[in-house]
Amino acid sequence: MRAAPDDALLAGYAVGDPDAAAAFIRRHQARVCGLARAIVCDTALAEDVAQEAFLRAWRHAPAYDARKGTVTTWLLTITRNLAVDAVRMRRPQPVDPGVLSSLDMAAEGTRSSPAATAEIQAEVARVRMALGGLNEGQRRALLLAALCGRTAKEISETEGIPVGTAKTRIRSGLMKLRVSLNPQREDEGSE
Amino acid sequence: MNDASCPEVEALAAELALGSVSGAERASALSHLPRCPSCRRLVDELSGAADPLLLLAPELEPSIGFESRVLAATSAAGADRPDGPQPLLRGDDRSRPLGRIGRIGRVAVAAALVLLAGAAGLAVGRAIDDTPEGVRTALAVSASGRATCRAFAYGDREAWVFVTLEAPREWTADYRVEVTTDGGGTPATLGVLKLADGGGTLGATLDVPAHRLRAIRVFDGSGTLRYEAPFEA
Repeated sequence: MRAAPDDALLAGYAVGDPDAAAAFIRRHQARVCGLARAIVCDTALAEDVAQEAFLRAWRHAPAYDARKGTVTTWLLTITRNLAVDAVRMRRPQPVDPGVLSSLDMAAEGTRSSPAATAEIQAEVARVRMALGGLNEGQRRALLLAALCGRTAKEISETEGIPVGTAKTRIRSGLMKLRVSLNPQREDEGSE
Repeated sequence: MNDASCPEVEALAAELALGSVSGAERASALSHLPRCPSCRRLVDELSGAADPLLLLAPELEPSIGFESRVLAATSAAGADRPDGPQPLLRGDDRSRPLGRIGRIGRVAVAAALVLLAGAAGLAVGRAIDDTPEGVRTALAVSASGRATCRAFAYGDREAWVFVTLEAPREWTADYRVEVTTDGGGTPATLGVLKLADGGGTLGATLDVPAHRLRAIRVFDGSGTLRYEAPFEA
């Protein structure tokens, strides 16, 4: 089952095939739980968020559009939104120091999950290379927003910078990343 | 709540794409997007750059039993919503494919058995009834009743097709799977399904919408048609 494409596993999960469902969950659970943990800073809550993310994926599988991204990023987007909602229902949480240090590891590279497909590993390498083209401030602002669910105001507090600077780093960093990931677009991206 | 203006949305576009805007500001910006193709395109493009960043999150293996909990929750959710996605088939259902194979195939197996009465060799099936909206299904059961081939397809623009074959564990073979479409023409090859350890799966995407699929056909290594089942009309 490991060799089955993600979209096929998602399709099988959606229509109730237990083997496809188990393979789909097994393949993605570490990424989903990891992202949820990075945002909510609580392992038990992260698993609740992850479980709900898989349920959402099962419910909304027919809405998945392969032209807009991979199954993995679609699932992680669902996870991020759920995790951010979960965090915002609580009191503001400090950024976990472990998560902060992991931002550098995320940018530089960590071990590849054995469950990751070659397609995902290639995409991860491409994104890391694109991140390498950003300055450190932009890179940290983007990763704090994307992987920790932090708002510009929260990033300004974490980094000790004005809110306007945090917003500028997010915007200029993402613009530059868009150009790097989509080389046809060369008219934007300078800070 | 007032809709945001284009300059306001453009200023927030990156944060929207990253999911880092909350509350009224987010609601105001999102309410603007359906009516503004330019802002919608900008946010879509930035989302295309932001979403892959999620792949960089540190991985965390969940606690033991997580997979089972998700599967149980999925089954429970499916049971609560009979018109929604299919609940998962239980293991004991799968072990008796000609007895109770769950809600997906129950009606179909009975119908397939009627079709198969007297048939020898070639397994001819029919569509699986009682499925979620938008999902097309087909089922074939071998003449001996020892093997079951199921196919699911959905997608308005391009079809996702997922095929499973369950058979006795001692059966090992490669099967070529193809799909016919309405209007005739050359059947589209999905790929090769490898049967081993009692099962095999194959998934692929076709450049035709699911509603245009007519039937699934499975050939053995000698080119002999072994299973054929129409998708439901």
